[in-house]
Amino acid sequence: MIEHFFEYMTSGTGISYAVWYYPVIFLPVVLLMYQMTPARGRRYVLLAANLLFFLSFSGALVIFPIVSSGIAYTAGRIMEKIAGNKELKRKARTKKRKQVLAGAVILLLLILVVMKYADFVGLTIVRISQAFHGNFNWNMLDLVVPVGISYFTLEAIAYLTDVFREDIKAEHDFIKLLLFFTFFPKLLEGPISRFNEIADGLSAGRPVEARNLAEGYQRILWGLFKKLVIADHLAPAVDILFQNNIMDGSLSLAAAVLFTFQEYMDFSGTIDIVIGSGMTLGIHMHENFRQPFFAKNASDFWRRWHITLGTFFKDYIFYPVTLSKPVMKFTKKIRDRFGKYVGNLAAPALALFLVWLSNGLWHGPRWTYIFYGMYYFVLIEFENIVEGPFLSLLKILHLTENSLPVRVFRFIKLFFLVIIGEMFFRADTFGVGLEMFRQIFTNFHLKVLTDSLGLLGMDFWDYMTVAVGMIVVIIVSVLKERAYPIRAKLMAMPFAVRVLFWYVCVLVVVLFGAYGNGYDAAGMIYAKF
Amino acid sequence: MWENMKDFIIKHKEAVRIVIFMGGLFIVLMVLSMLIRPESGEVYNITAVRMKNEVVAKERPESMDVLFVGNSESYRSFSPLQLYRDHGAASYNLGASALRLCDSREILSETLKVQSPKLVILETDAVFEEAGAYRDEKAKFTNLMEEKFPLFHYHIFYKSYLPESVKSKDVYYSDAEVFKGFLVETMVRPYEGGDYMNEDAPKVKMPEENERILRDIMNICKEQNVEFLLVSAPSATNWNKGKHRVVENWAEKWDVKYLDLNQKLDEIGIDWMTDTMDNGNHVNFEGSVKVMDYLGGYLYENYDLPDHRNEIFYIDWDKNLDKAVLYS
Repeated sequence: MIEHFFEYMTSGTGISYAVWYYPVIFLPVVLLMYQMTPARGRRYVLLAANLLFFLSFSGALVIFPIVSSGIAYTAGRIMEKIAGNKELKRKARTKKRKQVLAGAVILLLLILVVMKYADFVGLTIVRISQAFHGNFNWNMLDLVVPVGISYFTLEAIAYLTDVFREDIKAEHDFIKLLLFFTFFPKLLEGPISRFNEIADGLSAGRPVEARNLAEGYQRILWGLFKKLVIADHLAPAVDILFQNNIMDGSLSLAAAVLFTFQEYMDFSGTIDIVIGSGMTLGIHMHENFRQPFFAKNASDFWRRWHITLGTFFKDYIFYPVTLSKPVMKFTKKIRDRFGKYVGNLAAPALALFLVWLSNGLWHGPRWTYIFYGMYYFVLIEFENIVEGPFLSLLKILHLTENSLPVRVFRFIKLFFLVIIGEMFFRADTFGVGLEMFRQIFTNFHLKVLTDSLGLLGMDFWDYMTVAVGMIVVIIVSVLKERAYPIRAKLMAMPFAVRVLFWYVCVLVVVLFGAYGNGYDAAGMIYAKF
Repeated sequence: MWENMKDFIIKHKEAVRIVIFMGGLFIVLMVLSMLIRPESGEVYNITAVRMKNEVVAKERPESMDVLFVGNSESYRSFSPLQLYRDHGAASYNLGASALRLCDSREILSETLKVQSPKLVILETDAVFEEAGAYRDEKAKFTNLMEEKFPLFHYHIFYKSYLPESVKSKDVYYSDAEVFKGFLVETMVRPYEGGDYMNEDAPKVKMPEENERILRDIMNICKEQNVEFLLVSAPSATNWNKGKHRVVENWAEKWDVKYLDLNQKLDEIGIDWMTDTMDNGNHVNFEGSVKVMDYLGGYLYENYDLPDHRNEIFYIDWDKNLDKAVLYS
């Protein structure tokens, strides 16, 4: 068995979170080794697990997180040294520290851009050059991207910025930094974590506690349910619908809805596995989703969906840009010229533009992603402008924000906007997305969809499984939104009842999960970002 | 001692509970694994196997003279109803879409418990496809787990339980009683690629696992005193001279009869412009009529097969011919 495991480890396939050997073999072995090692050595067990996990995907590219950690470590220490140099004036110290920060951030971003975006930038320059009859050439690099590079790069930038702002102290212990940047549960899909939130816990070598273990695995099971029982069942249908994308509006709409469900269940399910894995070690990572479809508008949606990406952009792009001197000056000018209302919208608009451009680019080197970012930029800007008039309208109609008609209207509006965004996000090209969108309004025949149900790679049981699975998720989401203490209620039940409940849950995932014979392996959607 | 144990349990209450929980879970998984494991212990598509077994079991015991085995090439090419209409033999097509050899072996063994045919005909396309019980033969680690806990391997066993309204629309069930496992498709999508049986064919090998299961099927027939015949159905995109040679050598080695219909296209009269439903992969209904014309003659020339037409016990076959308007 062990030889098969090592054979697997060196095959480059990787230990995906939702494949059985992660929760059944990898994580338990790591926990066991961790627990058996004396407290001081435990962090090395964890580091070994991190590197092994990375190696299983990207082999020798393990050098990348080490180099990025090295950059973060060195720049942090230099900034600290400058800060302590009392011979320099405060202003000069800040300037020098800023230079170090800028240099390190540029270096980190350069590595990311070269590895992930070089071909995209090259091809874009070729196109521009062709448009001006130039003859710029680009030989495709086709570089293999190290897993998690987007995540550990952003985390390194956040760490350095926090050190610069003196929110945290520069870390003197390189292992602690490396341990944080490569922590295996969050390596592939986040959540984008802050050094001061989890690094101490990772390094402390605290023992594994039974309660944490149980709660962690319960969360993992919930994640496996969302990923294997719902998302992976939808995968073939979504693929088929997007391959045959411009046949009928009903198929386009189904594609948009099913992809949105698939992506949400896949990403949030994986995050449940990630957070659960952390919990087993007593590490509490930041939540990344909070019932996003109950949001009241697009900007609220992004405070509930991929939360840690949103807060990263807010803390490290939105506020710094809004509060930067040139932008403040620009705001003042606009305010003087066009009045307070326009002036107050201008600076956030500029910052928001950069945030959403970054959001689009962060998802990968594709124009559809950039459009996706811009789509939300326009939506949120539009919402900012019309929110005031909308509230006035509600007053006239004698409706409150929390009244049922308003909530239903907001839900339907947001749901439609989100699925349209996801449709463009998933479409092969922007043109295809546009055509699918057009068909929804100009060529919609529900019968085409109902006649196609048998051709979407899902059988009777698959449809039933997804439908029941979604109902369960919706019920749980409503309860969570209403702050119903689900876990506490469960824990209050007698031991035997709880055991029975969890056995049923395990069996549901084992029996109704879309894995193994009859199903193709469906990769994690967010891992490639 | 009991006091010590009690103290230990109280002290490590949570840990003890986890051990009890895991132990119980292990037992649950093992028991369920034993319950759902198919008899042969090696099946890939448990749903197709169970569905096919279910429909075949509806046939009157000891009523079949010939059984066709294989994947979609089998159930698109060999029509039991036409064989009966033209010659009077009762047969059943045990083929299903993308069926692997290990699945065919299971269905055949199950069928042979209640049927004693004179002849089993295996369509050879599956010999060069994946044949084993595991989705990915190379994923040894996962396969080992599935072997130890068959529940993970056969976890979708329940998929063969369907409401009647769904069953009536499913290709495995609909018309199975009438067409005896053969699937009718009248669509025409021509093949225009020219001769595919020329000498400069790619070199192919029969994978070890496939060879092992093929021998198993041969031995099952031997044990039951059933004659075993290999037939390659016409397929312009799936068959070639290389595969022909491999099967020919194997058949010679084990003294099994082999008929490659791809070498008899002119005699059969296959016209790839009209006789294929998917650009040469499978024959359509028109193609199958020609295939059965030829194959029926061949079988009655080489095997001692009975003629049940006008026999009282086979009157339902005549009724089926009436129901299947295509053959009337």
